[in-house]
Amino acid sequence: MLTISNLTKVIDDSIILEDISLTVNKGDILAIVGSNGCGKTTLMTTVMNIVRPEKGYIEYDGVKHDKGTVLKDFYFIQDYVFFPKGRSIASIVDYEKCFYENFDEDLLCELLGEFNFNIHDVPSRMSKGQKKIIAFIICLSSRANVLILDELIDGLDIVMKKRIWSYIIDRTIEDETTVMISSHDIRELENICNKYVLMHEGRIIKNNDLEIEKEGLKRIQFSIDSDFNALKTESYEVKSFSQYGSVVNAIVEGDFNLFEEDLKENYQVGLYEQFEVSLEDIMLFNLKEEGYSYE
Amino acid sequence: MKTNRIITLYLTIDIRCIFDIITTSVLVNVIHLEGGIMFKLDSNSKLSIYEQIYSNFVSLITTESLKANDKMPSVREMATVLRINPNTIQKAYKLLLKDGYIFSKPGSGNFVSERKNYKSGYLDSSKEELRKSVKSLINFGVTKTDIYQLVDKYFEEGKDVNNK
Repeated sequence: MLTISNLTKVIDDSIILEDISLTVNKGDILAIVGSNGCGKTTLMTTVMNIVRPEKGYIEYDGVKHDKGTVLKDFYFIQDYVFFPKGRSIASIVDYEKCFYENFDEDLLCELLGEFNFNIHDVPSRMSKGQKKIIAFIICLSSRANVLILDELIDGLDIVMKKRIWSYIIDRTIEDETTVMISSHDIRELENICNKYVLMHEGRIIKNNDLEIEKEGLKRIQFSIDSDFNALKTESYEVKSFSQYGSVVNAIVEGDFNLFEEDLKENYQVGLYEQFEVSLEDIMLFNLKEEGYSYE
Repeated sequence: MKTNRIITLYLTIDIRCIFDIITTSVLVNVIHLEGGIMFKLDSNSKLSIYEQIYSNFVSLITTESLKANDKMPSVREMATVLRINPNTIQKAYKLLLKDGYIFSKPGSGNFVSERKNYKSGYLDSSKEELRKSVKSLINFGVTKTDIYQLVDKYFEEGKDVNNK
């Protein structure tokens, strides 16, 4: 289990991370989402011990990350993948092996073959997307148990995205690998992740199991003959809504049946339909509550 | 505005995936499906993904595209082929177990049940679907007599398919 406890990071007098606490279990795929500049990358680099926090700690399997702790269980793919100029995959891997004692060379060759690369290829001459794929292949071959992937799938083509997801899911089942992945491509994360963390301005504003979160929320579309006033009782709450003419689109939390009854009591309701909420919906209404919206 | 993400899985892919496992065990039939049977998941549906996986399997099982004692694809195969979190697949399988559509054999996986073991959960939701459809037909001004005629027609069609 990976525990992040009361993490605070200050850079140049501004608070980049504020009291971040979360736990990630083995086999979890955790989505880290949030507004631009909310601290996703800083959270990841702090977990990787690349930057040291002002307050709080990170613990994995009972071992706290300290100054100089070698994180042989962790692999981090940065958003901007850097490979030294002119070096081949083989020589990069020789270097990686110094840090990952379980480095699996057979797997490396197998994966390079599957993605049509050669061990003598030079990543620094490749495109951004290809670099990401090479980094991902090395990441899987390192046999690390915790994969920290910063915007890995952003900017990859649709075929590569799908292939990478299959490998990630397979690894979480086979080795109970823990995955933390950030992305702005919310729809891609939707059915892959079982947990999510929503960040805004250095804070976690939501942290939940995605299935559980979705069970308590519904997107409800209905038509009424007048202006809609958000209903709120102890058993349900309208988290957000928009009305275009007679059609209202609302996100409701709690007892949906009771909401339907009350709605039909108060309004002349025509159409009434319930939909699943998406991670995108969850993100938008939570950010709106923080005063961050596009309307 | 709303883009449907439809993941289509031809179950023939699955047959290939699970074939390795099947050849090592004795008691199972190879799932024999002709192409064209699709596994459809729609992320903009009224149903959640696990409910969709559940109902996809229920229709494959009740139409006997998957026959009694056929081996179900493993959670791992379903998760990696459909690219869905394994917990979600697990949840759908648990519901299939609970409703008697499949049974599990410790150590060898999940198998399709005999028809007599199905419980009525899905029947209730099919009735609910019928209720909604009738309501929507009424909204379109279709008369009671016409609805009865339609039901008669669909009943005969459905009976023919089952007798084949």
